[in-house]
Amino acid sequence: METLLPFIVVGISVGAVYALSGVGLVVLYRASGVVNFAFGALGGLAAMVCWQVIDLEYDDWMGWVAGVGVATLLSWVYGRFIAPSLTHQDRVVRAMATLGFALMIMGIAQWYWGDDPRRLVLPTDSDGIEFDGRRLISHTRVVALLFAAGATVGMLWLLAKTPLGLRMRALQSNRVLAGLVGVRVKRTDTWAWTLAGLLAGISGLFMGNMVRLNPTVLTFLVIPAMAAAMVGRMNSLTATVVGGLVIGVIESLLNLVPEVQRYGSATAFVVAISVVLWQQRHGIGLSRDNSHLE
Amino acid sequence: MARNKDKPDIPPGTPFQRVRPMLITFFIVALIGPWVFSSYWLNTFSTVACLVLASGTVALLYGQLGMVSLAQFALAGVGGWFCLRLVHGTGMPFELALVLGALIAGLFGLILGLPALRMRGLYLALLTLMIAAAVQVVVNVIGFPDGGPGWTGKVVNGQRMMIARPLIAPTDVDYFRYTMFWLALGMGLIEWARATLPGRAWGLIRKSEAAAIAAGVSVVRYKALAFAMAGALAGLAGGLLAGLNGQLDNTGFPVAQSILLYALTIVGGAYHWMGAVFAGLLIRALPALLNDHGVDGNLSNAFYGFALLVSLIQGRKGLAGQLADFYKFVRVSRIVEGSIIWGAISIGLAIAAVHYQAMGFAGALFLTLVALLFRQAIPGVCWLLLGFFGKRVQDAAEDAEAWLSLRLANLMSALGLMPDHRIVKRTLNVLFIGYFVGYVVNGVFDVDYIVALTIIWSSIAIRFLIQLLMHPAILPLRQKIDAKYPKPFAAYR
Repeated sequence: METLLPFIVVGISVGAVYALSGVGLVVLYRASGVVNFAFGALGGLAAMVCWQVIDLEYDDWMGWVAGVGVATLLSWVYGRFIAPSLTHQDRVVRAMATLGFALMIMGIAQWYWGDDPRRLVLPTDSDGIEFDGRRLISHTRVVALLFAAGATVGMLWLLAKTPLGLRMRALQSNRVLAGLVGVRVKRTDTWAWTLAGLLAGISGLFMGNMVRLNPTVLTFLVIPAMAAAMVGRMNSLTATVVGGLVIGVIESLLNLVPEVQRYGSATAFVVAISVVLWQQRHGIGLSRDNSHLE
Repeated sequence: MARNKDKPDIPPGTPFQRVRPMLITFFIVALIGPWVFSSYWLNTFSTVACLVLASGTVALLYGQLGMVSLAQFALAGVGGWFCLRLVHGTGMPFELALVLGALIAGLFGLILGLPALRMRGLYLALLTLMIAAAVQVVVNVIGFPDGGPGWTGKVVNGQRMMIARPLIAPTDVDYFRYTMFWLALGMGLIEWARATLPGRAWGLIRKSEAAAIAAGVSVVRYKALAFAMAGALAGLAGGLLAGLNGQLDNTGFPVAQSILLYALTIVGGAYHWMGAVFAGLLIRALPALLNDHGVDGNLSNAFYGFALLVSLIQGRKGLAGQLADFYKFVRVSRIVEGSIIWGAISIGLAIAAVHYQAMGFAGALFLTLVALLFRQAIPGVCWLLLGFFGKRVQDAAEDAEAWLSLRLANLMSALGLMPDHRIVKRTLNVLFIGYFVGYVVNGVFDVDYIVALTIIWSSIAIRFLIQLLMHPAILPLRQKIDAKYPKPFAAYR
């Protein structure tokens, strides 16, 4: 256990970021039925904008606000102006439309900022948790873990206790009926997009700090986040967080086994595939998956 | 009724009649391609042919069966891997390895399709995405075989070995034709299956599995067939890519490419074989062209994203669907007349260009043909493509054009000249064709921009003069042809 502990701690800190992104994906999917491929791209843009603002020698906090703000704003624009014209299409089409949005953001960001090596430094990087006299994880990762926990609890509270959450759950069970009983469908949808954009921006800052500050890399980090969300069947926030943490821990523990160490980055996908196949055997489908009716 | 526009048009005719135009097109491209393009562009187009085949498999699953597989390009990687491994390991002929690699990829596709027997829609898309991502990691680690020892066949710290081109296709030109042959075979197979019993079974499954079972269709068997076929043909594409350069790059089959392939198949149009061709051209030829002109390739990603968004909002027929719609309205007489006159003009201008040493015969011929084709098609297509952005944009543009043209025509008739009520539209079209085709040709053939523009505009001018002079003579002939081959939707003026 003594030897495993550091790996587990590192794994949890990595998994926390997957979990944070996964929560953002699940909240949007529950309210509006859209799997958001643009999540990573929005996060990447947030990280790049943040870096740019800090690089222009403004205060750090201005960079964070600007980055998260841009991601939230763009997500709002998509949810308010583009998503409504697709609501009557099936969910594959709506997911693919966000992919189009992601490619646009990624292409423009990559064109503007290019491949130069950069670093997004957060003030929490300088210090960290030590173990056996060696730095195990920086405080940034602890903060990310706290954010993931906070976002999960916050979203659970929002969905369970607030009027907005009630309306979101109404949309989740049936959009048409929800509209009939007076839920303002478009407005609720837009709120879900805005929240998703906020979470995308925050997780983008952490990803840009921990992984690599490159729009393309950050854009495709949405895929492991999706793996975490698939563990939660795109429905359960708790299962998503657990999924994210488990993926992080397994990925980290694989470093102990030299034979499979190099395949570590496939953990998220293998876990997601196994969970999906297992669920399928037990007749558990994707939440809201009423495609057999279409 | 809004969903009706998403339905594919099912062209009538026997299976062979449905496959024939595609085979003829591929044959012509294979025949004249090497004659027209430089070696660099020929290799680019060999790659494009492989991508067209891969895109065709995506279109097969999505267009015919309504299933989304985001792992088709990863399957191409699998096919390429086994093809390389077999050639390096056993020294067998390339063709055999190609077919075996395709069969193994087909097996992988079948395994991939197993969950799909009970899974549909978004969940299947996400599952295939995970598989594609996992394949990318595995490929990154073990790499593609290059003649090394062990089961991975990977050389560590040494000279990478390449496999030889197939015996019958050692040069770039031969290999291009070789690829086109396999492309025609693969796409022909897909189109044939679409037009016959499996296609109908797939269509029924897409509509409703319950109905398919009730009608006695074995859902399991036909779904498995579709996935195996799609996997095998994607694997074939991967093997052909491996044969092109003799090796494959470890970073060559990322999950991003699989997603992009799906996205651009939608943009191109999943219900028509032309859609796959557009997708292949968009993925490989457009970035190459932009690169030639020094435009950042990342902007093409932004453009793809925009195109994907627009084509999803506009219904799901894609570019090919738009073109097919357009073709419905073109009269047969125009096609016959156009072909004869275009042939004469382009050969004449090409000979002239060679005589004055402005540019090569093939290039000039291509340039003129495309310019005239565009002159004929663009008035429709260009404004039709505006419809891509929405009916409102299209209508507004048409109205603005009509308003301006009318004013100009009134002005001209007041000055005592012959009025033309479409003057703005015509001018815009001719300008657009000149600059657009000139831009493309400037990149592909290294022709002077001025020369290209001169050739394009003179060909259009000659075409206009011929039409003006011969109009009275041609008119009865035209009516005769149209009476013989009527088109129900054509706008007879």
